[in-house]
Amino acid sequence: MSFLEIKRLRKQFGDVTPLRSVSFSVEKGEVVSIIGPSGTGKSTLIRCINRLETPSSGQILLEGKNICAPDTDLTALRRRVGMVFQSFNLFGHLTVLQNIVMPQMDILGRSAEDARKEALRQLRRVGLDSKAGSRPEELSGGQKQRAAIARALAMQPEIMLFDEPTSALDPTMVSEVRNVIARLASEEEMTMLIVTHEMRLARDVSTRVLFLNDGEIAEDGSPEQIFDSPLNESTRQFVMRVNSWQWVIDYGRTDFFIMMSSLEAFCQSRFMNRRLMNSCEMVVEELVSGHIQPCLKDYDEMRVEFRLETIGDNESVTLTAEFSGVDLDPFDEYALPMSDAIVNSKTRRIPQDGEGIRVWEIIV
Amino acid sequence: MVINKQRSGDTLTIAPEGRLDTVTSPELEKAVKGSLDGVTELIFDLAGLEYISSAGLRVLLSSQKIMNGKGSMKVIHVNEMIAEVFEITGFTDILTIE
Amino acid sequence: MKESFAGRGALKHSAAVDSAPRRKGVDRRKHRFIQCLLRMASLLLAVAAVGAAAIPVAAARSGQRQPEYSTFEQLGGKTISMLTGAPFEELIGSKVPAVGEFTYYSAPAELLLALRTGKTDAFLNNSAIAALYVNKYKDIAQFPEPLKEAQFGVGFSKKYKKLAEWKKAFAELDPDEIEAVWNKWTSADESKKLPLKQDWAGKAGKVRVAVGDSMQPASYVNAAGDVLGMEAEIILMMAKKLDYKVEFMPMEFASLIATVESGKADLCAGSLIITEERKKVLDFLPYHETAFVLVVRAKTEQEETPAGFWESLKDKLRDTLVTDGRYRLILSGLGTTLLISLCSGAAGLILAFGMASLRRRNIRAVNSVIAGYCRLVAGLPVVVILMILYYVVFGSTNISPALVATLGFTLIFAPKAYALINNAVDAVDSGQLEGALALGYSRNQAYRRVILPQARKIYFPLLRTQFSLLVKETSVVGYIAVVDLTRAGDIIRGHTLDAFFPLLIIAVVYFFLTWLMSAAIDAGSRALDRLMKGGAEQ
Repeated sequence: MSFLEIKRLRKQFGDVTPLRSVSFSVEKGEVVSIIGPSGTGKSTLIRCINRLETPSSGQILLEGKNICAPDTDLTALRRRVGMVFQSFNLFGHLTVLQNIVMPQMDILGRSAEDARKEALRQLRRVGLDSKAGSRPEELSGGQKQRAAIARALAMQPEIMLFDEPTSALDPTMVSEVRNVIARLASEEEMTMLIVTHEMRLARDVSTRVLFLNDGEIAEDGSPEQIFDSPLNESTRQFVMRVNSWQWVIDYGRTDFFIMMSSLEAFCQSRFMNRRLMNSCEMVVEELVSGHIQPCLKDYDEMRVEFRLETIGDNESVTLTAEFSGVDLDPFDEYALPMSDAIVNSKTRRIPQDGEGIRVWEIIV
Repeated sequence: MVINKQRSGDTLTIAPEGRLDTVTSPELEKAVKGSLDGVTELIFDLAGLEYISSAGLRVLLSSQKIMNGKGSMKVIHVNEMIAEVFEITGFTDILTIE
Repeated sequence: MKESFAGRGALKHSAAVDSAPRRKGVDRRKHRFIQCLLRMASLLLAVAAVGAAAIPVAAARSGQRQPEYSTFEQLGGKTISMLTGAPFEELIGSKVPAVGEFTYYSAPAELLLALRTGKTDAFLNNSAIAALYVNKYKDIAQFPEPLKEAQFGVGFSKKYKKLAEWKKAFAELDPDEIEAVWNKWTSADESKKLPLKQDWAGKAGKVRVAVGDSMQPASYVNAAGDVLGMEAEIILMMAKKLDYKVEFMPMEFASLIATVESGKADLCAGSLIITEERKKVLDFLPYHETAFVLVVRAKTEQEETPAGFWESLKDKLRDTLVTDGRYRLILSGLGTTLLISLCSGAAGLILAFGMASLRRRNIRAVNSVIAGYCRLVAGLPVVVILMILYYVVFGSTNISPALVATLGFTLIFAPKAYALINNAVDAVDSGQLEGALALGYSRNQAYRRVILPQARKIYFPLLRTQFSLLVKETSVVGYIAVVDLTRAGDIIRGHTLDAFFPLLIIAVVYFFLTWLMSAAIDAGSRALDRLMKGGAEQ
């Protein structure tokens, strides 16, 4: 008997059916990430497990007991299942410490002293003991989420649900939350279910990844399988899309500053190191300023689409340029020598069969 | 980008900080050209520079050309990343780098 | 008022931004407070000055006063006034060729003021009131020709079976004695108008008599709550013969008939004139003839020696507050207003929270009952709600009117508080509820521990405003025979026949009352905050 078993789960809201038929099981100590396009019911699925949503049909068995049964004691169920939300949901009228102390006293009936000790223990665990007396609004997003994790842990849940724990965070704060979750997985062997669109979180932390697409589980496998060699075409496309940056230069219109900012944000979100990021930026800038812009003076209807893709933990970064509206190759025919020299030193060209496409691998 | 300028006698030190790219280079070019009166020694202090592209290199090149006629120019505090770009583009041969 | 509010704003502001040492802050606050008081006082003086200047203090010449108008023809084209709801336009129209305009006032004292300040040229009233006013004020006179003869009568409930024995007792009274009573109460001499004592055993039982509380000279109430007046005295004379104890129930004139009709009293009195209309609902014991007469200004042969402004102000203040211990009336009215507002505020709040917690159950039938109740209360005037409660719902019970008023305002306040609480609860982020539920809180617990404490910050300031409004709204309880602050002012006006100085005093008291209550609620809330903070941080 699995710890958690989900059978043909279906959830319908009026005309919309985010979950059509979802089945999978989770063993004790497993860390399962659920990824997939937005709007495919990832959050709905996880919210069914602590019955914040009621499934339309199907079964959820927690240690063999169906928690979708009408006589289920919801408060007792939720005591066993901890949850961390995208928007933290720390209680605004209480300090961080009170946020963790109050539920223990109200729900578990712990004494004030015990609850306080436990709260401080959990705060130390997420590295937030110095903020015990702060109000939630005084914390950064990452600190709020760590406090919310500590609050859930203080209730000693048997399984933790994470609903997009890093989505509301500034990119610079994602790693502190990811590290806390990773430590929980490795040191505590906590059973966890994580809904995320942060691929690094799914890859680094989980023992298994589920790809949810169109209301069903399209692929279920190890992080390596899902991210590096997905069996399913829809998985492959999804993984590729979330790992790429795209930019179109159309009719000569491009705002250099915005383009570079967007590229920088993508590089940061992929946690590239300084050097790799510099190379990516330099290659894109020199291709645009040294090749595209001179060419646009003669061919103002040219359209160029750039796509920067990373694979795995930035093990391979490729830049693709597809161009149209021009009858020559702008990268061959227009080249400022300095730009050309820089691009050549930072990339290795990957030969392509077709016309109107160039692919470079960024080398560091 | 922040451009710090310091004049002492006939020596002008310019220290750009941040990124020197297609967007910011024209700014530096203007700052340099507008303050070369009576300058015989121009120093670029690149200690605070994080990024340089060909557009930035062109500013250095045109400054070098002006200074060739009226004195000297040198570039100091070049970090590893910038040095690599100078290397790739052959600037190590054109500029005086300390 | 506006001035003073600006003062309050400034006070708050300075407290917020002032980073100077505490001591200085306190001084400044004190200073602001005094400034504010001064402003109030100067406002009061200014209004009083206008009032005092409006009425020339007439030093009448001795001898017979001549009315300004003495024939109906002379009244042609003039303004003639009467009490609101008194249907005498036709009667006057039949005698006066072309009345310029009819105007209406709600109390005899206001008619008097209007006449003396020249807002009207004549007013119609019964001969008792006319006699009293003419005796007291030398600048007015009675119009020589009466308009219509009439009879004053004591009203008897049709359910009260003892009219015959009262009639017999009345017949045994000496007519001269009755005349003496009439003269005493309509004279200008206040020294003999003393409260009436019931020094007989009352073996025949008790009789409940509703009397007008500001119908001088027929019946009125002094500061101690004693009933005075000629009608009250005549009733007591009869009661003595019959050996009844009389329990007077003073109230607004407009409530008299309804009170007897609904069985809350057996008799009623207060310048009631016998009409066919009234005979349908009451039986009458006629006790004195009267007439509808006009009162006009006296001919202005008098030399006006305006009394000093300060003198006049002092007189008015003394008359309104000191004479007869009238401040006691204001104090007891204040107490009643406070009691009704506080009790109905607290009970309304409890009811509102009850409804708010019912709403969360999401039971359709319950929700529509609540919605219907709120719509009903919102759609009815406050006075109508109070009267329905008093005369219809509790018509046959002997419940205290103050209790009915408290109940009424509870029902009126609750929907407002309910709406505020609901809006505030809805304004708390839904994530807060989910966060609590996910930890294992039940819905009720989550509401109590997480949602309400956060909603309180939103609804509390609004609730405080609503409470201030409630305090002011209670001023209509006079309609159901409760003597609150406003009614106390009316009664004093009935005595002093001064239309607005008592109003001014009442206005000042209301102003400070609502102000102090707001401050008290603020202080209470801060104390509560500290308490709760301490509780959670233990």
